[in-house]
Amino acid sequence: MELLCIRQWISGLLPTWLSAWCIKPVGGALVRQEPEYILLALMGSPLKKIMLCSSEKEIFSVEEQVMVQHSVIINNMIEDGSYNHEESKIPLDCVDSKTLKKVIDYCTHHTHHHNDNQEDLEAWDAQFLNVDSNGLYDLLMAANYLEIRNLLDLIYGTIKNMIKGKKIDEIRRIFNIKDHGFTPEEEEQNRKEYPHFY
Amino acid sequence: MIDTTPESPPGARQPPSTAREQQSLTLIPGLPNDVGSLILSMVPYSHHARIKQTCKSWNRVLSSKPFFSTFLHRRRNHLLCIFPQDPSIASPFLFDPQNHAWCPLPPMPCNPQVYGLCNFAAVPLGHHLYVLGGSLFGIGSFLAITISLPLLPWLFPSDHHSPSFATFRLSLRDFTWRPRAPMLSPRGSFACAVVPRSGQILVAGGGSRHTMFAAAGTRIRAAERYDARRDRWYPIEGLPGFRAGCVGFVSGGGREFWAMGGYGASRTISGVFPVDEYYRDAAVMELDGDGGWREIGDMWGDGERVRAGKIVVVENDDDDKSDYPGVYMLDGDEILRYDMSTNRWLCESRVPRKAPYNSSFGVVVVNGELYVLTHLCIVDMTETRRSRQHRRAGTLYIQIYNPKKKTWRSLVTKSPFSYPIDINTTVLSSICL
Repeated sequence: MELLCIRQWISGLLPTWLSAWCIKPVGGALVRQEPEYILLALMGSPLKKIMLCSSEKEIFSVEEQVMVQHSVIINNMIEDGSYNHEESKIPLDCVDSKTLKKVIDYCTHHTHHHNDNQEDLEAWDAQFLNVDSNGLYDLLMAANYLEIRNLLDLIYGTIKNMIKGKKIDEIRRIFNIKDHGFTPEEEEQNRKEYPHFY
Repeated sequence: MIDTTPESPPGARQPPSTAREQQSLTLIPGLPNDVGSLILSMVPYSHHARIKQTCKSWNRVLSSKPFFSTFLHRRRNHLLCIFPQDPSIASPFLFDPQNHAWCPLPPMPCNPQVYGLCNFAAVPLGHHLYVLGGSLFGIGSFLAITISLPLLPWLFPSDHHSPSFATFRLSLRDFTWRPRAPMLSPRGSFACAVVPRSGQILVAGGGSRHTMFAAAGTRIRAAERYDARRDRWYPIEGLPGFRAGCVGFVSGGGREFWAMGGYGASRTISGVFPVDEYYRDAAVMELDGDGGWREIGDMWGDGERVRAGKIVVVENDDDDKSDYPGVYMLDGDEILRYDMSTNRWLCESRVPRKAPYNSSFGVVVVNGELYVLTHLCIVDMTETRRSRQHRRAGTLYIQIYNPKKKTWRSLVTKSPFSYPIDINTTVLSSICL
């Protein structure tokens, strides 16, 4: 890649001409761009991709528009310019590959299908959350970290419903609460007083 | 909409070793406690009593003060409180109409000297429910009643029931009853109202009256004001006349205290049978000024008979421009609305379904709507030994009127009362948490 140092006001005047020659002004210097970006730029709407790196160092490429729409953290990173498209990837050390893949699935589906009717979306969401508790908690922490509001609401709602309708023994089983902390006498007293809760 | 802004900063996550150390304090294994606490705060109030028994950490968190105040800020729960009988004998219940959930409340502390509390007032203030006054029997008078029962209708014991001073407060956070300062004058069937945004309760009039021997009893004029923070009663100027069975509400943006209707003197039929003389007017006290009462004249017009149905008041919510609450009366199956400007009762609506078997309705205001209740508990005469093993449950029919939209809807739910209750004497209250 050749670097041509030209004054900024020239690069400001001739962006289209320069981009046709695979040259893009970056911070006062001119850098040759990869051909596929040029092609997409000339086509009109760039499907820019960003790189997300999981805690296991696996890289996932995803459309920028999809993540920006859902994740407040990623949106902020891109808006304030701390993310450089060509060089950097966003490290997400708190999220493992399996969970990150699922999060990307969710965001992609909701961006591309946001015009679908509500029932279909809800059915897809229910299927999406058909995972075990650990998977659900990992998704929750990932959504929390990335600040993906609608995924957070969805998971909170699901967990809340797991508590709401259930008897106590079932709640303890679902949430894996092995030690309930009551003394045997207290537990017996509670069971006698409120048998229909158990 | 529930605000689910995540509380932990991005990237902050409890490392596994800390979670293991705090095993006994962990709310949901696998999640940090702040997330667990957030999830518990999303569960509606009516489920709290049940999930508190799940484990000790949940019990501790759900009963803690900071959790409860955050919880109250996040969501509004409108609950109906039902006191079918004396609350120290029969457990009162909370009903959540949105979630169709019932929750038993602990019975009130019992004074062994007294029995059969009725006609008390259940007043919500914040997340507390105050039970004030009432009419009750003393033990001695109970015996006198049982002896005198065969002598009806020639004997009307007028001093066998007495009004009560007592004040109790139930906290809906930890379900405990605490005795509070007693009233200055004992009273039952009185007008009472909460002054909005001040933590004060006003009471006026009242007396003693028993459900069986109505119309025989005392009436008083005295009025008083309760300061919840100081836990003290202060006397205020008494009503212009003796008035019991009246309904109280605060109107005019908190400036006026109304004591409407009720009965004062009593007359007798054939010199024996006492009958109430109902008031045709209301008394209003200016709260800002010198605290004097003025009487609003005859509400019923010339020649019209007084209708002595149950009066309830719909408070204005924040986006209502009017200063005056909606005052409604349920008389039989008709709903009347009081028009402040003309001082008359106008026909508002009719309850769609009449009460079965000629029983009557109870009425209470929950979340700005009128709840008209009737309770049925069918006693199965052909009960076999097998069916007796199943718990009998009553059914509560609720017809709900929305005064803004002028529409009715209904709700049916199985009630936990396995005995017939008299909806006429049941004390109903609603509380917004």
